[in-house]
Amino acid sequence: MSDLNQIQKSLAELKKLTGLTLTMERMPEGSEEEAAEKLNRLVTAWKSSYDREAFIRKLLTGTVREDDLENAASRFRLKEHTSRELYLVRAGDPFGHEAERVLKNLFVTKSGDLFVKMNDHLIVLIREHDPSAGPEQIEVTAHTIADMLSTEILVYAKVAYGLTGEALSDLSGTYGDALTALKIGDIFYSNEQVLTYGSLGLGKLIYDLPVESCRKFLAETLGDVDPAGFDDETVALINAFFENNLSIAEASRQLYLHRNTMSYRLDKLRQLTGLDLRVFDDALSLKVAMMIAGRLKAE
Amino acid sequence: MASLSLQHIDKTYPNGFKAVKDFNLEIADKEFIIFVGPSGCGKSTTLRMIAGLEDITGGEFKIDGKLMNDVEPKDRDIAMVFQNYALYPHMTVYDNMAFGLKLRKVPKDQIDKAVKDAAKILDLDKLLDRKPKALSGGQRQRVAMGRAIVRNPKVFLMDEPLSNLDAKLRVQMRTEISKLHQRLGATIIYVTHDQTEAMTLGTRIVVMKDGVVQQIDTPQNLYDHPCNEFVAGFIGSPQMNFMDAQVKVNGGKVILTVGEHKLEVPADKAKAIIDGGYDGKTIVLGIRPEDVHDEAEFVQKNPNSTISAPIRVYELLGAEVYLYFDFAGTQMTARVNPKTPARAGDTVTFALDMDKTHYFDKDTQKTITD
Repeated sequence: MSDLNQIQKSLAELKKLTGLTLTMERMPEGSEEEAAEKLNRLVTAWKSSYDREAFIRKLLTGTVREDDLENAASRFRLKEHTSRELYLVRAGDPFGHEAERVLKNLFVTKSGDLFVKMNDHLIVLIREHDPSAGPEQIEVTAHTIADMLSTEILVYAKVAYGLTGEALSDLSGTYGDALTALKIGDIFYSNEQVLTYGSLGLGKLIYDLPVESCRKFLAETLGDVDPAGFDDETVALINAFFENNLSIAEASRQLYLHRNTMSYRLDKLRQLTGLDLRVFDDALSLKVAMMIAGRLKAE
Repeated sequence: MASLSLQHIDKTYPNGFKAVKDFNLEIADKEFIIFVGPSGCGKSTTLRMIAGLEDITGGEFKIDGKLMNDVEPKDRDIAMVFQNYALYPHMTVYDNMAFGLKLRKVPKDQIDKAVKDAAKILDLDKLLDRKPKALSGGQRQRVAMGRAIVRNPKVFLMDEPLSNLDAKLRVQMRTEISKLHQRLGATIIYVTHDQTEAMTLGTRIVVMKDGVVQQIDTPQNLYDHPCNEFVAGFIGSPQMNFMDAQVKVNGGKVILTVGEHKLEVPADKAKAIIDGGYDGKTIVLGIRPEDVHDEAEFVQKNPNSTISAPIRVYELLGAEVYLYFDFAGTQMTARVNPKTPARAGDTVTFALDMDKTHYFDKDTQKTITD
């Protein structure tokens, strides 16, 4: 777009926002580019000052000054001190207007409910938290968001969610956590559609480890054995054992195996790795080793 | 018409996790197919691949002979019903059902006809002006179904739609879904972790575990002829009893040692055990709770398959009683008549119906005799 066209566009935008008609009468030669840029910034600044969604976007990305917060909260009729639920919705394909309509009709039903489009692939939904609703209810809401997008518009989306503290400024931290949850989910929990930062456990810790430390740990724990090379049956056995708190009886039941079969397979694994999953320390070492191997593979 | 073909379907996520491995299935028009298995077995992932919500890593998926791998979900002529649904709170039943069609810019008169037809099928025609808060749980569930029906799809995909309902409503809705299938004459693929739901609803059931199909069969065949220990244990409630048994072949007869007891295997099953070379080896004996008898007459007629044990727990369900006891290091369940005199603490003599026993290879877990 030429600079003159951009200037005209910005002036039209300003008229729409402010109701004021501004015209360019005389412009020094060679200053069109600078004028276009300044007008564009003026439009952006005006929008973010007076556009609620743009303000929330800035708040989530941590670019609102503390001293602007109170004024802005009042201007946009946002309660400054209340806990909120934040849902970060991400799709592989760009969200169309249908997704917006589904989510707004479903979710934005009260004045404190917010819909913010961060970019073509990320939408944030925020609402005031009902203190009587437990963590399970928030998780159900996250699943409902994911399932409704699949049902109504056949879009597969992942949802990360979190609960903020009482301050409006807590939103950016919760948003950051939700983004991280999606990243960690991509590495360690790729088949999970709904994630929350608080439940990522070891995944979070391993995500933050330096790569060299990870490699060293694998070599020290397993020598030449590569957990990425375990067959599917072994992986299922290990996962079931962990999920059932190292209980042979419970893990057997989950896998619909006879418990003697379970013991036999654990013995085979010990022969392969030198680690006996029935011993807590060994189980912990193998769990961490497998997650580290997964993280390194993702790198 | 909607026949589906899934050939060698694989799903591997970017981090290497293999959710579905070599899935093969041919679905005829109007079938009611159930995918069943424990949490994480790949059934929902397979459903999402059919819907186009997840990419297929390998293999071919066809609807009516047309390759669908790269076809967008909206062009596959499918409709979905999920476990976690919500009704738009400020819209009427009519608008809730119409919303999806409005998004797709379907003409108003077509929307009206579709909604009213669906409402009639679902007995919602007198409730079209109501808002969700004025509906019962069952009515809301039917509105969720209505959203799918109005699309008039070739295939309905349902992912645990009843899981969030209370037990009574779940049973009621199961019947409704069954009737719906008959009325619509549509192809339905239904995912559940509940084997009771699977057994009562499906024309055929696909049992899955760890991303792999274990067995595809009618409900009755799955129950009577499970192909491996997993299917045998998963299908049927209470679960099949399993115990280790040491095999001894003696002149064409197979005698099993289970704990301190000796049991003779019926001739028709003995042959497979002998031919499989299991003499001297340990196999797994399976027997369903209803085939563990405490009636005096049965016990008398089957002296060679009796076992005795003290009852740990007595559970009265009304039409039947479950007796829990330990035998040969295994917790066992017997499903008996409610008139049984047995109570917790009593030592009871049971007789196993050896004609109904199942045998599995201890290493491969595959059936030896079925």
